[in-house]
Amino acid sequence: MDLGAQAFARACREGGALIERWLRVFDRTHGAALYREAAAALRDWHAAEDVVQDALVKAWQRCATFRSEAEPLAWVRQIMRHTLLDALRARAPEQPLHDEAGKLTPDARAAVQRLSLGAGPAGPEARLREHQVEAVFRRCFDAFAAAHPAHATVLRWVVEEGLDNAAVAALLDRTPGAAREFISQCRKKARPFFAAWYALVSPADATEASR
Amino acid sequence: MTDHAPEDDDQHWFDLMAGRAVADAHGRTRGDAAWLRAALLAYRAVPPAGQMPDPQARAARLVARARGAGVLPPAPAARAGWRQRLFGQRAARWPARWPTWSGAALALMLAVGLGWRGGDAPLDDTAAPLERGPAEQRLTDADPAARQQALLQGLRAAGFEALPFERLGRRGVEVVLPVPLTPPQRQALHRLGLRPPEGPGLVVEIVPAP
Repeated sequence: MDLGAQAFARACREGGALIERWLRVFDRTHGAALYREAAAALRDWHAAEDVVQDALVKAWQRCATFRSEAEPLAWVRQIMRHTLLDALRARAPEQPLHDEAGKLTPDARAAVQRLSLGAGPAGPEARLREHQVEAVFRRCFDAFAAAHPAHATVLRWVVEEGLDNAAVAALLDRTPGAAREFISQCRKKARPFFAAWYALVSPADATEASR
Repeated sequence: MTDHAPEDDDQHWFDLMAGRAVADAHGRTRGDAAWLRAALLAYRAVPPAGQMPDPQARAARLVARARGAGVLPPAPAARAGWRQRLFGQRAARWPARWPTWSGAALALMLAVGLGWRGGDAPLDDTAAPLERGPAEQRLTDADPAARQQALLQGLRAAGFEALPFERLGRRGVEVVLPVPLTPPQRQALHRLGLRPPEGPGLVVEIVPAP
């Protein structure tokens, strides 16, 4: 079955069996990639299934708003990412990392120290071992994602797909100003979590990152 | 070296993270972003332990979810259930086409009995001018804003989920419909000047009368 824009619009008009067939073929063709993306962010396959399937149902509930010049896959992925961000936000209420003076809160400071100690001895040999660098990075990223899941997930999308301000604003359903603030928050929130990794790969940047 | 406001510095960092060139970015910002971007590209997100749900089982759950949300009509077994509930297990052996034939016969008897009063039928399937098929319809009104509000209220009063929109100066309403529509729901749409679509979505655009 064709999964293109025209087939999608026709299924939207006629409903019933055409939508069911579209859903089955779409899940078989593109489902794995969407489930993996959601599971990587949520760290849970069942929660990922909820998010992907909710997004597909929402896409069909709003199928009449689909513009035929777009690709259904891109449109569904956008809806999936909205749903994923909602799920991440609902899961972890964010804790402030900085106080009113802009300094790290005691909890955040303690988390940074724990991560720094977790990096272990940083001898010259260890620094050359890529797998250790990767392990530290992943530990830092996981801690960041656990504390700020939405920011960590959006940051990955920015890097992997080169999103610009407008794309982030659309993804978050926010004004351009609020999206810009979110971007600043991404950087501020990420800093303390990656301090240990920066210390390993680039001591000069670690100084900057910890400021 | 150029001094930037903190918000500009964050924007530069963001652009560098996205892989865009920033000519006047601060050296530290450049280094900070370069390392983090390289690592995020090198160390892609890995799914959690465990297995992705079985494709056939998850597709079945997806279809069930779509039925539960009203995007798809109830499963055939669920539609046939009334026969079993009314007449017991023997009803399951009745020919599958029985309701269709009996429905047609009943309709014929009613038509003969009423003297074929088709001209007085309350539903008019050409109620609203079609824009791109039944899922996207266009209404014309001298006051699109007032019509949008009236439509919104009417749709919500009839139990539909309806959201207003304004795109490129054109107003309208986006409606989520259950599948299939019940006769009262179809009548409610007709009363509002809309043609009931077969699918789950409906967009109504309201353009000013010339």
